[in-house]
Amino acid sequence: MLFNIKRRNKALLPRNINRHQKARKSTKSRYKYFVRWIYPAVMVVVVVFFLVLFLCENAKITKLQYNIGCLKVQKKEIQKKIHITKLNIEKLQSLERIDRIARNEIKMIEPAHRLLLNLIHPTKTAEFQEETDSVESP
Amino acid sequence: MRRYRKRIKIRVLLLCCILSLFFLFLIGNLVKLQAYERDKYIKLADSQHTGMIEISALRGSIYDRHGSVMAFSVARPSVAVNPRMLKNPDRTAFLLSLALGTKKNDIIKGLKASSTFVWVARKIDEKTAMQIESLELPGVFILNETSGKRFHPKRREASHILGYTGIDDQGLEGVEASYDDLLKGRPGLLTARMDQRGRILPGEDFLVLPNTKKNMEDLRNGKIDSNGKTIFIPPVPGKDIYLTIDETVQYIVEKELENTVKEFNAAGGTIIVYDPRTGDIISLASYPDYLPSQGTRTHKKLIRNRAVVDAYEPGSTFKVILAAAALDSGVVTTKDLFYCGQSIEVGGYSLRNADDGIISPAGRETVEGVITYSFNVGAADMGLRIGNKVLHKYVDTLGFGKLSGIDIPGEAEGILIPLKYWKPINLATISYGQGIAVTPIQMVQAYGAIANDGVLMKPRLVRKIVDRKGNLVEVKKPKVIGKPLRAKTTHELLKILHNVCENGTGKAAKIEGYKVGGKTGTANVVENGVYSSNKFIASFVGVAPIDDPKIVMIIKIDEPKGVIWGGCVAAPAFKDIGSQILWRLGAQPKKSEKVADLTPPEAVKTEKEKQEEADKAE
Repeated sequence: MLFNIKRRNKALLPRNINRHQKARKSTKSRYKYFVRWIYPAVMVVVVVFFLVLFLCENAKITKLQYNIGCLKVQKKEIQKKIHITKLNIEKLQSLERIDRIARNEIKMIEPAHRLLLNLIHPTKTAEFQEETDSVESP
Repeated sequence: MRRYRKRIKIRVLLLCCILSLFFLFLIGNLVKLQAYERDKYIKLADSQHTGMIEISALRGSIYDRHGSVMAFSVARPSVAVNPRMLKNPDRTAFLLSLALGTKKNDIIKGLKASSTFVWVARKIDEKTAMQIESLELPGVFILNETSGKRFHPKRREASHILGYTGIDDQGLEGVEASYDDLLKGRPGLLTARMDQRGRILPGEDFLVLPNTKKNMEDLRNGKIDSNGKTIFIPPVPGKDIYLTIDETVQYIVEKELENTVKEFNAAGGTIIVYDPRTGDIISLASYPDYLPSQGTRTHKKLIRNRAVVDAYEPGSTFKVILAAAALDSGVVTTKDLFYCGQSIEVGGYSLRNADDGIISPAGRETVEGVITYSFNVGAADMGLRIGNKVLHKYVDTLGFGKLSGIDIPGEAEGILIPLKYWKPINLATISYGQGIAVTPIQMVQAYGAIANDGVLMKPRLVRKIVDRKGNLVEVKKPKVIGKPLRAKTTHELLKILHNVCENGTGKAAKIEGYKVGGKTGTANVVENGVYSSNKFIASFVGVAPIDDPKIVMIIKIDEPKGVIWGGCVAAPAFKDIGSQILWRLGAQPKKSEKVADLTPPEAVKTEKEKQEEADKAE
């Protein structure tokens, strides 16, 4: 009967029936609207969120690696400075320098006589004795 | 109307076909690039943004026997230029010349070259490099040369032993040249993706490969598949070398040599201090010397190592070798007498004693007398008695006429006439050290055999080789070459040498507190095949202490002026050096008979102290 009413003149239908149909129609369309637009939007937001998270982590790793590179360079510089310091120490300990300072600045002179005191304790002779132990024969 | 519609439809269809064809073509090209030619373009891209850098190894250091640094490398920056990137070559050259302190013209030639890489200055100091970097000149780069610049903290000390290196850190003389392969290490390689400025992109995985020849070649030829990783073959740093020399002894010896040469206005000199038991060279000095840091700019005359390169006629110091041959062969005994008159006729030649005034009162002397008072006539008589074969055999087995094997390049063999050419005159003259040419290292090695119970040792300059971490790589053990003399013969010879210093021509070599022995020598210099009448070589070869030999020392002074005798020129230097170094080398001096005055000398007072004392007295 209702269908029959639909096909006939709509003006004859009571107004409240149309409203009911309209309400049913609008709920459906709202549901369809929700499915069509909101769900994808939420999915996109979630994906973007994880993407951003991933990119942030990668950015952190890259930054850390840059820092590691800088630290390696610093380490090399410090090692170089240590090397140069060792060289300077050897230069300062050079006998020629010590001789020059002793003669020219402190005004030391060569002794006229040498007095050698023989103290009874191990000297560097042990080192020479070790070397004579292993001798290669032809 | 229908026809019109139909026409439109056809046109639309045609347009669609054309567009489809076009897009099909694009897609086809894309497939071709992405699928079929993929590898080719990947390689091309890799070649554009993957760089290969060779990383030089830092050169190894050289130490003395106690670990004191003698030669050392420090990484230094260098300045390079890409001439194609320069915007204003003249201005760049001007600014660089100001920073480097060089002439603009020297730099401008390089900047106008057609290549993409030109060195401007190698291995400069850090401060200058930072100044140039701060100028931010386009096309100018500062590169750290990891092979380093060579430094010698002890300056001139042991210059002839160490040698020097060139600008590319290649050894050119001395130990630097002999052990160049060990000292320079092996360079490494790094292939990585780089940005436009040549910086390595971070986040790349590292693949480290061992430094072998095969890996290096494969990486250079692109045979190693990196899979996008950075490939690193680390450089192998050079090995460190420990010498047998003692830095302090070397310094003392060099100082005394310089003093002696200057005192007698000589042309030069050599001193070698040798350990007869091990063959260690404790010190080797040659004067004039040079600065190893300026080796490439030094005259070859100064670089010449007289200790191994100069062959000279040894003169009377060779008489000890004659005595060794005579006694050891058994042809002669210690009681046999030899003619020591004024002259002797041999093969039509008249041979005379030296003009030093010593004559033999009896006209005949034993072996000890011939050596102690250095009679040429007596030596010639002894030589003629023992004969060619015996003398040649001992001369040969004691190391003359051949290389000693010391690890310094340029060693001379000396001159020893082959036995078949020996005439009586050769035998007679060789007996007293003329007609044969030897090097100082050969003399000290032969005397070393006398001091070492007849055992001849190979001279040794390098003790051990270690890697950068201090792990032992190789130990150069002392090497015995042979035993040319019996121990009994050597004991007799040592007594004779002691007598030379007690009663003979070597009295000036006596060292207080020690029993020493040695032989003086004075030989004419040969110029253009003829003996010079006014140029001599004064020498002394000594052993100390005689009862337990710790050192054999040769002092050779070339062309002293005024006083020419070995006993007056070289022997005093032996005493000066020996008194300073023997106790350092473990030789205990004998108790002195004199009682030492242990009262401390008067202290040197300052002016303030003197004033205070004066005030107190008042």
